[in-house]
Amino acid sequence: MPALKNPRHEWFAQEIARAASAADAYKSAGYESDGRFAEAGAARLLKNTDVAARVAELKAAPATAVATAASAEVTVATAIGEFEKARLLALKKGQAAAAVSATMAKAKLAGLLAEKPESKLERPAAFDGNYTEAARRIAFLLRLAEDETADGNKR
Amino acid sequence: MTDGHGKIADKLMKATPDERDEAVAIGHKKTECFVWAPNSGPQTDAYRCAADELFYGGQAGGGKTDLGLGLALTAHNRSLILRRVNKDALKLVVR
Repeated sequence: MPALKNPRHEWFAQEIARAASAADAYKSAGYESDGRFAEAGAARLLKNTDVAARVAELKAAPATAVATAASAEVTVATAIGEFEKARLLALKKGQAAAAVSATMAKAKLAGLLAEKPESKLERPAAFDGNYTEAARRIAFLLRLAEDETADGNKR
Repeated sequence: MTDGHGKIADKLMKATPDERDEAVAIGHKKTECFVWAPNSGPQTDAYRCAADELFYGGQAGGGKTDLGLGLALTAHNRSLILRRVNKDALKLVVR
């Protein structure tokens, strides 16, 4: 079975095959959920027949293959090369988002992107999920600003 | 005219994770003093209405009760909220 088309699914399957916890695998695959949301998402993914089949296949892979992969030397150059291959493949398949992710990964490895400062604003738990509450608040803020501008123009 | 919250939610979903986190965090920081915020559209119009008497109707699920509770919690000094059937008023406490 080839790698899954959805890179997140593939990454998730590989993490699960490496015996990572389902929630950790889900988060490391790039999904933005925490706690029980991550567990729920992971459980949902594990029910996906393609993902389940891929996990079973990866787990059943010969130990020698795993050992070979583990002993392979990974350097920044090889990693950038792999991301480049992934980027080209993504472009070929018309998956712009995946291509951008690969480009960003290359840029990070090459040190072109500065890490964000530690004082990054924290996202409160109340905004997890579908962002409706956050959107409501942002819309309300924008409305207040719009009203203030209108009031200012009247004067 | 600003986008409704549905459109903003769509934009948040389509934004990059970093952009989304930043927008959500700013939205939260600026509104953390609000226990409640109205939906965009008629509910916000009603919330912002300065009239002495306001008639706000609509079908079930339209946000009438939330508006009343939200105004009581965030804007009004004194509130009296009544239901035709007294038992129904208990549900307001749960909300």
